[in-house]
Amino acid sequence: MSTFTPERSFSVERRLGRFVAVSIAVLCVAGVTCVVLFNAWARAADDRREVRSAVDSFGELSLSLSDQESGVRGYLLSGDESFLDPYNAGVATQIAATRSLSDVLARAPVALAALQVVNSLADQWRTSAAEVQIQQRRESPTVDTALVADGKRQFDMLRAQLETLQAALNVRVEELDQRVVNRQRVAVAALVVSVGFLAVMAIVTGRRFHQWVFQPLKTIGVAARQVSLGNPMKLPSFQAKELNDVSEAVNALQQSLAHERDNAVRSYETLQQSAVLALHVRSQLTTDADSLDIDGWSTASASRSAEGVVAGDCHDMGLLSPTRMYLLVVDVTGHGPLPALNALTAKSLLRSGLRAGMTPGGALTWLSNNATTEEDMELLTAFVAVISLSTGRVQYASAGHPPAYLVKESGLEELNPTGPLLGAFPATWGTDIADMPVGATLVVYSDGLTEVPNEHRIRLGEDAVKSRLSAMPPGSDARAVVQRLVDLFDEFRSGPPADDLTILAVTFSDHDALVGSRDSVEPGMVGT
Amino acid sequence: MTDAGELFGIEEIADGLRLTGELDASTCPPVRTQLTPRIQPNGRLKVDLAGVTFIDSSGLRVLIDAHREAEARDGRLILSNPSRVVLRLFEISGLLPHLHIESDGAESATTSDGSSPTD
Repeated sequence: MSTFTPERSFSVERRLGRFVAVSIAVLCVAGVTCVVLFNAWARAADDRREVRSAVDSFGELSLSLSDQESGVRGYLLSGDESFLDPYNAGVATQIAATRSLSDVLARAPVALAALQVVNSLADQWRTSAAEVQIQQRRESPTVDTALVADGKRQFDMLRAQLETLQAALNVRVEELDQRVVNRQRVAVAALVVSVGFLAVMAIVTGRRFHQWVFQPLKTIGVAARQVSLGNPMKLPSFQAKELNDVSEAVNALQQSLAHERDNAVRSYETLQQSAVLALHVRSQLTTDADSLDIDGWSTASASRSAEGVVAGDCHDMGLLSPTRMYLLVVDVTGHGPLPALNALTAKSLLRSGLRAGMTPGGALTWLSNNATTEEDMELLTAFVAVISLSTGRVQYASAGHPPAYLVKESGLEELNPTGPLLGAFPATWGTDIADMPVGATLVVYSDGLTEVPNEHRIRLGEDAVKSRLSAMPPGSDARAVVQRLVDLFDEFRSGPPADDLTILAVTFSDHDALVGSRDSVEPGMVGT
Repeated sequence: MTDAGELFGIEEIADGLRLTGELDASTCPPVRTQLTPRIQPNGRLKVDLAGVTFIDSSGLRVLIDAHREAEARDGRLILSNPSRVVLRLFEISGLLPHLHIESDGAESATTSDGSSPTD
């Protein structure tokens, strides 16, 4: 497992989310700033354009005053009234130019004041000099020279004030030129800084993404390829929590694969070592039980292992005395050599118990107490019976085994368990008694029969077995009964059997054959 | 949801697990893996068997082991709503007197002949 440092860990999603949020915020601020600054630049340019137009109006104002002065002077020399036309036109032009300049220079107080002085001096010149001189000339051919000199002096003052106004206008134009340049510089600088910052953010985000995501993914990909080549490679821890989770998962997967591989290798080695033993056990399981040659009785058995494994089922039949036989079926959980060995051990112990005179229930209890510890013991079901060959009386015990059946002319009699399966809970097993009349057959089987599935995964079940047994022709012996059940099994199942199958049958076929051939005294049985 | 093949499923419920399908040797390992850590001292663990259609001896082994583990910790393993087939298996196996079986939330008093409210 990789070492994970919580202090340095973070979520890539959260980090990249922050980057995106900051980038968007910066983009908004930069955009608004640029818009404001470019608007200011545009306004300054507009102001400059207006002041430059005011310069044109100033020229018109200056020209109108010159026209007025030259018109008055021509009229004084010639007395011709037509010379007063420029004077009168100049007055109108002066008024229009003054109005235009006043609007433009509203935000230039120095120039506006100079304009007002110019207009004031012009009004004074016209009323105190020009109009008086025109009136004298109309009345006499000569005009007072002192009056002319005073008019000239006033107009010179007016001309000087015009120069002052022009200077003020030039200053205003220069100011606006400078303002336009400054605002242009600021706006362009803001734009450059914004673009630069966004470029830096994009570069940093890309580098972080590469560092947090692409590089770890590349490392994980290399590790995955190494795993596929059989060379596990431990992944380091990553700063990004998401990638670190992937890293830990890949490391765990590698460990799991290695563990499974080791298990498979060990299992293969174990299988190789146990193959010979398994073959031996299998031969023991299947050859112990055989048909018995007993006058008046017939016996038969069938057993099949689950596909490719050694059975966990076994059965046995034999004589305890000339007048008593036993039969037993044992089914241990699972398949393979170990369950088969457990089944074989259980069979041997049960047989030993019966031969020692124990009842079937006593033998099961003895097996439970002595076979193995409860925790380690495989679950085991067993059916054990001792049959009196002279009377047909059956003493039986069942440890959680599927019900055995007595097939009689009068119908089926079910022989149910007398205690739980072995290995589950501490328990004792009782012994029940049933009677086999002549012609009856005792049938015992393992759950491999009732639990076999068909192609629809439906199990055969007890009812089908009971139905098949009920339909047996009268007088059928053990071999025929076993064969009918094997046929039922084969007809129903789909594919190879997944569980072991054991079927055992004993038929009390001819009581007369027993008369005189058996000792009618039965040895007693003892329980444990 | 943990699948151990298309015929079997394990679902976590409020107070335990719900099993569906066939509990056999091939589907037992995930059940054991899910059951074992849920067994707590003095705890009550429920295994809903309503959807279980078949249990073989390997499946019985898992349930019995879990029952033992719960009892060893003074807890209780409740097997709820078993089908008739499963209840018949418990009966044949002689486990009815030992296991805690309930139907629709009420723990039933199973009888020696295996009759149950689910029958």
